[in-house]
Amino acid sequence: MKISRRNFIKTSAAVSATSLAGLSSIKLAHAASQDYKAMVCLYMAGGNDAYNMVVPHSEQQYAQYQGIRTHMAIAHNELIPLGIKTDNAVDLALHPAMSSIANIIRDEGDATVLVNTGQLVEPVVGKSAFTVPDKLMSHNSQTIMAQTGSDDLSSEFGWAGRMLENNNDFVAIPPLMSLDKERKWLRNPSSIKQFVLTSNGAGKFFNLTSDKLNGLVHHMDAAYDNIFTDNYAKVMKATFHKNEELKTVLSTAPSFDGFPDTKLGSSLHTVAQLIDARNHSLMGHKRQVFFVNIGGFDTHEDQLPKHASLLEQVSDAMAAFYQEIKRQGLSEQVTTFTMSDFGRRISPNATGTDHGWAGHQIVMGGAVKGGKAYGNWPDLSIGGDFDYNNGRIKPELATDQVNASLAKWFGYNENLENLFSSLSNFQENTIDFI
Amino acid sequence: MSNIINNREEAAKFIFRATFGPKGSDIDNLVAMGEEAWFDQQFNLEPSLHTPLMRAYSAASYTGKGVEFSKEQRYSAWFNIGITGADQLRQRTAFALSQIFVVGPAPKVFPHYAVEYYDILVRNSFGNVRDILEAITLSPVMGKYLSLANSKKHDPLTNSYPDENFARELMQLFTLGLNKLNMDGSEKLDADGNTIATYSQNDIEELARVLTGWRLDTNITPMKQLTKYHDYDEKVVWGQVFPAGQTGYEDLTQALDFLFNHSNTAIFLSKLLIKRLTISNPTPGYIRRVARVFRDNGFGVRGDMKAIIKAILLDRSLTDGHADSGTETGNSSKKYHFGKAKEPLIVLTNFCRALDVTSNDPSRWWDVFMLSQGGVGQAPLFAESVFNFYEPDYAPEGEFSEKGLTAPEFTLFTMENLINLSNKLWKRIQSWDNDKTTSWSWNKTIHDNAINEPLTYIELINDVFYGGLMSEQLQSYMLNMLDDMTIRGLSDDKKIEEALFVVQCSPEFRCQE
Repeated sequence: MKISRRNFIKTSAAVSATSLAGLSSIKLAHAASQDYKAMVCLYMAGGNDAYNMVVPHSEQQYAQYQGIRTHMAIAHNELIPLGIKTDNAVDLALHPAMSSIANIIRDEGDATVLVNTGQLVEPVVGKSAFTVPDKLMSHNSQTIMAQTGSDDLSSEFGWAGRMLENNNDFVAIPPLMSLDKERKWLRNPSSIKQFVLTSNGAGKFFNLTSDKLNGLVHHMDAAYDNIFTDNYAKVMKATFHKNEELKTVLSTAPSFDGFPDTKLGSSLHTVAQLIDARNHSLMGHKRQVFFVNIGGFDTHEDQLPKHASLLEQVSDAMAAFYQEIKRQGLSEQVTTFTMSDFGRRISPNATGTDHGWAGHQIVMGGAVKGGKAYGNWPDLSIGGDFDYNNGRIKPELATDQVNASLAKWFGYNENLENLFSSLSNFQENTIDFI
Repeated sequence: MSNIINNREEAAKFIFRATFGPKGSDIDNLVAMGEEAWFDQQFNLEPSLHTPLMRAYSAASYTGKGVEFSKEQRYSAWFNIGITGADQLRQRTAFALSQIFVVGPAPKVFPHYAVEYYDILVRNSFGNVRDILEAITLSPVMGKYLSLANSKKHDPLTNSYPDENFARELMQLFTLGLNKLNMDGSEKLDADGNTIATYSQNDIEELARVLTGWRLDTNITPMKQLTKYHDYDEKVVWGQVFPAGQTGYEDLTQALDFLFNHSNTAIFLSKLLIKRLTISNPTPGYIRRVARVFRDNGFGVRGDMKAIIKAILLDRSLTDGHADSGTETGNSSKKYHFGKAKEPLIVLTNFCRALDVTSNDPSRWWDVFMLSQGGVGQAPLFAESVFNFYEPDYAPEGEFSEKGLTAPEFTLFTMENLINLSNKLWKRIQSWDNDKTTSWSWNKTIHDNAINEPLTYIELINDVFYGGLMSEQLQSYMLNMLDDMTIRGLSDDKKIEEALFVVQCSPEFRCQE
């Protein structure tokens, strides 16, 4: 369409970005409340081979593991003993690449292992007929289930988001934060939208002179008659303003030592900064939920070196985060837990492992009741009680029970079955690890 | 025969969908020749292959030390061909296919091997889907990426099993999808209202057995069978018997024939291609019409890419501007839901084609375009997993999700990506006078000639960047902006640069109808 001066709606070219002015003058609020808690989900994308992350140290169980895992087994003399036992008294050990986190489990008692957990919609061990979650062992389906609840795959919302949907204790930056992409885990039906940021904090637009800024702001506020352009403008607006707010917040937070130079290390460093800055007048958070991600766990081949490298990154980043949170005096108030799509099959492939079902999770923080592991070590034998098929292990603890326990600790005081509809099929809603 | 594309506006929309964006007189040419002649011309052009170009860049830059083949060289070939290649329809189709039959970064998938994989897609873009399925299955790059290479039959001694990686994703992502589909793309439901899985875990295990025995021959030629690793026993997949004694290739042929002829495959792949090329929320009728052509091109041939592409680009719901209404009802909502957001690489190539960007030294690689200033969340053959840069059914939180509509590309609109994309385009704008041999530049003469008459200049902007589809509102804003800059005595160069910045970040440039 061609325009002429005559048919213009004359608008002022100098649309000012008033909403940005004054951000720099905001000061830290001094409201150090004791009522503070944070939850950090460390997602191991691709299906972590948890049965090589945590290995039985007890001889009998190790021998069984070794016999089935064969060339994919971790040698017994390389394992790091954890000095904790499962509910059925099996001694546990850690993958040798995870030495940095071992003492937090063994000596500090501030972390532990949840054994043989997985997506369940009802108990399956010891039953010949049972219902399994939909689309078991499909990466994307199970990744969503971890966020919505095992029996809630088609839900629009995630359990962490719903946990905080009535929490209005924040100023500009919402307390639901993904340092990855937008995640269903943080979605909820309220107006509290998640904040998606990068692993290393805020970004910078090049040479944002006033004319360019005016152009940007014009786009953000213009009216659009199409869902794509309209939402693009909204995303741009949110991104731009949140980035400015984030810059302001992070400019008040110190840089912490000891974090590894990895993407995950950088993510958890930013999380530590946002926890430190929780009382900033743009935040005012009494609760914070963080999602951080590390990919690459789909180790169908070349597993031994790949997996060792990934576990080392996880361990080093978690250990650094633990020390920093302890330094901030918030050990009791910050809980970190690992999640993954699924565990991997015990019977190996030529140089890797395939998709399985059950796995183990690590939970860390002063609130964790350490000194022991939770859950029973399963019989791994092919055709045994825990064998779903050919070495894919049935979980005994439900991911929903684990997550419900975390939600309860976090202060969710409504019926946990509202968050996880499968819970009514289990005897206990929660597990006593926290 | 009457044209479907019969005016400049329709032609502009078509060119945005079928190419990497309008350049020069692309739109007028289409109007003049009509779409049938345009398709014939595109179908008959020599394919621009990426491998020779990448190797030429490498030869011009490699000093005998360090890395001989880099992914920057591969990206440079991709950008060069996307921005300057004549075979736009083929290249745009190949790019769509690269996001369905996904190969991403992996150990041992070196850039000069990955580029060969891309050329498989370029060569087969106008071929047959059955051939594409076989070519990607046996590609050594895919063999490494989804670990089909060296997958061995069960070995009782080591308790080792065949690798299920490729078998699973071949079904879930490359052919069938998870659930059985109706012809209109909706999910079939059983008597209890539940979706119906297209395959079972047992099918995956059995298909993994069917596909054992393949291993690399070279890094660029199809994989070959190593008979001692192939499982020659009887297999049963999808209730079909794979008789004992079949060779690896016979087993593969039976499996791919089954998948190719499965009713889901036509619907599943049609929908994916529609989403890559035209709109995010195709109407049920649109999907049905394309799937029908997938099943039969009118001459009894299934999987004819030329026919499928034409069906996708010429569907009447496009010319009518209709999308799926999601959970909303009414014709107006269908129009409001029409279109898609452009993925970052399409934004970049659209902009570079509009500027007619060239290399300052064509014998060398073009630039460190992709790596400089941080990533934009996307590079060719660089998705973070086999699930591509985004999932086709992704519905961003908010209006899309509430209305049951999808906008896959929004996955990439993170703070980091949006800032980097804007910065990258700003660097492009500023590169008009860049004379470094390793950089790109563009000739701004037509802009210089028009900038003193704002209305003429806006007409130029509208024509070059928006194919004439720029909204009146945005034109008004730009006119005010230029007037204001004139009053403030700013230079012509400054006015051009700032105007182009406003173009690059405008939602109507970042999305398409």
